Amino acid sequence: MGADKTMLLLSRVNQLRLLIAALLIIVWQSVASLPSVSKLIVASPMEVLRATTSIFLLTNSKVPNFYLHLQRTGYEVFIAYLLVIAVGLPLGIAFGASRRVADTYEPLLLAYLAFPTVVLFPLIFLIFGSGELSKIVYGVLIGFAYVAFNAASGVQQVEKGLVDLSRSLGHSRLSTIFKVVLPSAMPTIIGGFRLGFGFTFIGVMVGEIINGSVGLGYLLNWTALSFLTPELYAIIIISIGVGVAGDSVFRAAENRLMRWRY
Amino acid sequence: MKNKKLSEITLSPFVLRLATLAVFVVVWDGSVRAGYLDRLFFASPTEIAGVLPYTFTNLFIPNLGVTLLEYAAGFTLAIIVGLAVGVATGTNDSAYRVTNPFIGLGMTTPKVALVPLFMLALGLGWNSIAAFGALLGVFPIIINSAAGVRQVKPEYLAAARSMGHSRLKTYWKVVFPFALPTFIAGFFLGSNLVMIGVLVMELIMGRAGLSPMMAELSYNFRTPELYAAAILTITLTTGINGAIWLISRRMNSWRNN
Repeated sequence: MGADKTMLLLSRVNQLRLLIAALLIIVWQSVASLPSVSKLIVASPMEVLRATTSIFLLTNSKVPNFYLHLQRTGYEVFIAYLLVIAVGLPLGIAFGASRRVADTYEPLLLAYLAFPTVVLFPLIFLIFGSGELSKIVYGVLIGFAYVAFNAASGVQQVEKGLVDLSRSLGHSRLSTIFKVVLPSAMPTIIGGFRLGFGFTFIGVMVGEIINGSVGLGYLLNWTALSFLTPELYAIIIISIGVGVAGDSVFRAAENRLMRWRY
Repeated sequence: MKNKKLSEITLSPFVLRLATLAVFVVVWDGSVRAGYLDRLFFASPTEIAGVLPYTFTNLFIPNLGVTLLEYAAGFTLAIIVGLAVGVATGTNDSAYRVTNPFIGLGMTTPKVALVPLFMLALGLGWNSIAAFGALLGVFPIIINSAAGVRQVKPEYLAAARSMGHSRLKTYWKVVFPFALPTFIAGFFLGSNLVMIGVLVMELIMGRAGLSPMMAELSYNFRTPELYAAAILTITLTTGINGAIWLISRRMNSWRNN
């Protein structure tokens, strides 16, 4: 009986959500068809759908080589993200494993997280040029601190009893980290991976928008400046889709690990 | 005994941190002087200190006003919209459940993708920069405001109502004071994101403000001034963060008594 009632409520909540989404699309369509709204600023949902499919099928004459751009952004994000984990994870584990290291350097990490890293972009551009390297470096600078921070707090949260037990069973320090500390800190670490991915992706996109010549970010800027409005909306939706899809992969992993724990 | 104390002081986290920074600065300075780091891309700390006064008066101050205006407008907008939406959805449970996924989507969406839309719709002026900053900052404010309102214990609300307070007065006297720390935490996160949004947008549009000033220094290879300007901007944002933190401590001080 109680379960039935919650089921009913859930489905009603979902119905309302769908209703809101449908309403938003209807409002969008009607705003787009108002005569006073310029076609240069608002493209209608149908136009955007058409532009999106033609971009994916490579039949769009204005954005003829979409996969080249997607591939470049994907490559930059992939390399940057590998570096984010390679730098952030050991850093975080070091912070978590040693009280002294954490006391000494964690305030620096927090200060780093608190200032807008965009300030460094002109510097990165100066040092690494306007190619893919500056985007990768910028993505790494934005993303690594989140991975490090979460890994540190995950490792610090591991029960001391578990570590003592593992040590008393004869595991070495290294094997304790791999067999006990990391598995039990994993949900928090994956949470950091998730944040880190989002920020790395944003960093690469910002770099491409500011001074890219290939990539999704470049396409965004170019379609906007050329007033290719339906294509611009399509690229916006695709970019957001890529970001949200990546995020939900990590969220699914997070939920799975959480379920194993409790 | 005395020895132990000395080693405790020298190995304290604060001293170690300062020592690390000092070593970093010295190595940096030495590598630039010795030519290991290219002077075109790296300025030594002494050079940076030398151009700091000039950068402050001739580059930083003239561009500060625009950026601060955009930041203040964006932050105000983010607070107004964020509090209104957050309090409204936090008060009503079904409204919260219906809107929650949309807020979550807004939080995870890479919002830079929307920059060109802001340029098209609002132009290249300060208002479109402020609006983009507000878009970045509004989501943590919404989430924290809703969370703050939902944290208020139902007994307090019942007590206030039973003592004859009106709905509005209950909000003013019970809900807001109780939820204030969570609100302020949201403002803190939001303020940071507004500043990031403003600086990113300025950099993309490349007109007035601190970011375009730094971009121009970078294009002209005025490396020492660029480092000095970056340090000044970081100091500014750290100062704003510190001010919000101080205000929040002030507002919470009654709690500890």
